[in-house]
Amino acid sequence: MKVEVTNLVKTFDRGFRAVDGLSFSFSSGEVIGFVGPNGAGKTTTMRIMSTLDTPDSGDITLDGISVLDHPEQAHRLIGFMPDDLPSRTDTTVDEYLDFFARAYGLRGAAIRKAVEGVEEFTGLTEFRDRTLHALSKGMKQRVSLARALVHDPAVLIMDEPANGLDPRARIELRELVKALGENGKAILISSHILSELEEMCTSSVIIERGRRLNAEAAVSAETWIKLRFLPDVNEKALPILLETPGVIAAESSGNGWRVKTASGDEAAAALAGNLFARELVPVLFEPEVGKLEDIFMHVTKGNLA
Amino acid sequence: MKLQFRINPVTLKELRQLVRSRLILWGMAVLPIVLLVTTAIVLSSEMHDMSPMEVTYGKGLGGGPLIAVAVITGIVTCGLIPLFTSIKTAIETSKTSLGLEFTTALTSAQIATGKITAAAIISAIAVALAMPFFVLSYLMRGVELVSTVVVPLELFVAGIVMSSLGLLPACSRRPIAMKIILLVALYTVLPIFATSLSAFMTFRSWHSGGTSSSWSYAGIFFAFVVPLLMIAYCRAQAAAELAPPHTDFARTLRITQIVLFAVGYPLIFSDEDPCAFWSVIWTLVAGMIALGAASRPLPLTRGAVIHAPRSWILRVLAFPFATGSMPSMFFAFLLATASSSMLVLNVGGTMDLNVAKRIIVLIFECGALVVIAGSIARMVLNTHPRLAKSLGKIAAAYIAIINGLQFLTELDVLDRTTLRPFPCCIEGVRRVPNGHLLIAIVMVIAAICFVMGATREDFKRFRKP
Repeated sequence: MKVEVTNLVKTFDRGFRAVDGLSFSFSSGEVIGFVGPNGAGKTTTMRIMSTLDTPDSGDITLDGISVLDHPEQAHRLIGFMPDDLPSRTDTTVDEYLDFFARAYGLRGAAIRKAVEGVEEFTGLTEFRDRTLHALSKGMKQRVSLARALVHDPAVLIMDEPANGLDPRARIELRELVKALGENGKAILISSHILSELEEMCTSSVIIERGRRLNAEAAVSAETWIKLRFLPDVNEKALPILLETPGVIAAESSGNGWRVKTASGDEAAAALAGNLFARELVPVLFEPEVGKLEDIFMHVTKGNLA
Repeated sequence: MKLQFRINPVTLKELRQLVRSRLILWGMAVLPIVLLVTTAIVLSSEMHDMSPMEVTYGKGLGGGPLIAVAVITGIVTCGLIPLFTSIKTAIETSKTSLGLEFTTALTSAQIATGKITAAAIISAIAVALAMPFFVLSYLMRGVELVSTVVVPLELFVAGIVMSSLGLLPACSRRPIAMKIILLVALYTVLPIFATSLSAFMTFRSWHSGGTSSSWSYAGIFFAFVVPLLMIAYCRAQAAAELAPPHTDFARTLRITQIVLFAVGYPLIFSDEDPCAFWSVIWTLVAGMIALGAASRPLPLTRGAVIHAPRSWILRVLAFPFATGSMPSMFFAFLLATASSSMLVLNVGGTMDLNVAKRIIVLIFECGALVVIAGSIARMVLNTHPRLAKSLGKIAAAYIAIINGLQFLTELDVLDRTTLRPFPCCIEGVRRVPNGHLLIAIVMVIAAICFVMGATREDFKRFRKP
């Protein structure tokens, strides 16, 4: 399944352009982080993709089928998880999912199979008879995810799914998203927590004022790697680090080092190879989390639309 | 396929929620008790008023209890259930929860149908709970068997109609507070026209002068066809309001409007009172449509463009069905013209109908002015829709004030000289009925011309991509 967003434009009252010629694409198995400041046009884009809104121009296609011209076909292929939580407080989890399974056109035994399947996947089986108002925010978020998955869509659109969740719920949600990506779903996910997006996404789309920003230049520039050695060899490491091909700079960081290398896995592999060859075994060797944050800060100007 | 899979998912969901509602559960539990107590009180009162001779010769009791039970059941089916359903729908439509349903295979028409069906089932339960008391009235020989069957049926049908009517403001794209105000107003103001709320009721009141009812064409029409048409119209209107913008959401509505008009139009040639009531209701509805269409013209949707015919002639014929404001306005004004003319020519001067006429004139003229002002502004200032709306509203407010003052002079509260400073003052319906009709026709023609001009750009875009 290939999702293509082409020259999307959406204008609201008083000529305010929420989305301004936005284009990007992603495919099955990819988890795309959709990043931008507040008012950048993320939710508007996602609502258009989910057929809840219509653009002034541009198109969205799923394997060549226009979402706008054939919404009834798109409904079967897309699962949408909005940023607000299920509000039918007097409905049980099971009834809520059962309703959406029927609404998506499932019939007969397929309804129970789908509902029980998503309940199990999202860990809701033991909460199935609870009413929605008796659930925590994290659990409601799971219900929302289960609802979006109940018809087994090929494309999943998630708008701020981690919003307001506690750390445990966030980690659990992250694992679910990773699992869905590994299962071959094409996922577009927006969030303000960039470090988390970085961990679960295969790539990202950064937008500001409705336009896609070019993050490629920032991405290709450099990568930081965190290193730590045993205390007795820590000081010896600096010259070896600096003489490694691909290493641009190295600086002390706490009880270890931060090493700036050329972007790409090759530079990291060369650094690791050189260290092992010199019998300098690191106890910590990991790319520095926060690359997406750096890129985001680098490319955005902080202009609110 | 099993029955449970044939049921509309929305109906199922609504029923599940209603079953959990304490208000509904308590209401259903208390209803039989209230009916029992009321019946007992009215019966004892009836017996107390009877002479010993009447008691000895077994004069029938039960007429009083029948009315009392009908009134209480009517309050539940025509008031409380529709109000509850409508406010619930209004809240849902203001949240994202209903929007999510449009990411499924459900259509807006299915959603509207599901809500009406759920309300109908709850109404049926309420009527079923009251049924033993209706039967009791018959067993006491106070009423005919026909009444025992027809009155509960009337209440049931009227309840569905009321629930359907409630969907109109509930599904409209207005702030939640405004929706609730409109709903409360709807269920408060409509009892003024209580006898005409249900055409079925109208049929009954029509024959109230006689001792027996005969089933004429008009009677059957008002008993069955009119409520069905009203439900169909409300369903289509609600579905059009709810539908997401990329669908050709108003197609069903337009077809329903045309059918309504085609079926309703012959009634203007009838001199029966029910036709007047029918006219009052539908002119009010038409007025609301006109106001809505004029102040918030619907754009030519992507769905409508995709379904545009290839042939030029067919495009011309299909266009009025493809853009929102045109057919709505046509329908509204055709209906308003027909109804107004019929009212002016046929209806007697009872106070209720004078009030009704005044409301019709008010809505009709306000609607026309909004259409004209809005259309001119759209043509000239296409980039300033807000200005167009504002102009329309100012014009409508002006006419509303004029009409209000005029009405007060008709009631002799104000002196007629008060109106002299106001230009374009229209004489009252009671004094110059045909003058009103003439002005109305001129305004209709002008409005149609202006709207046709204003939508010419839409027509250019109305071609298959």
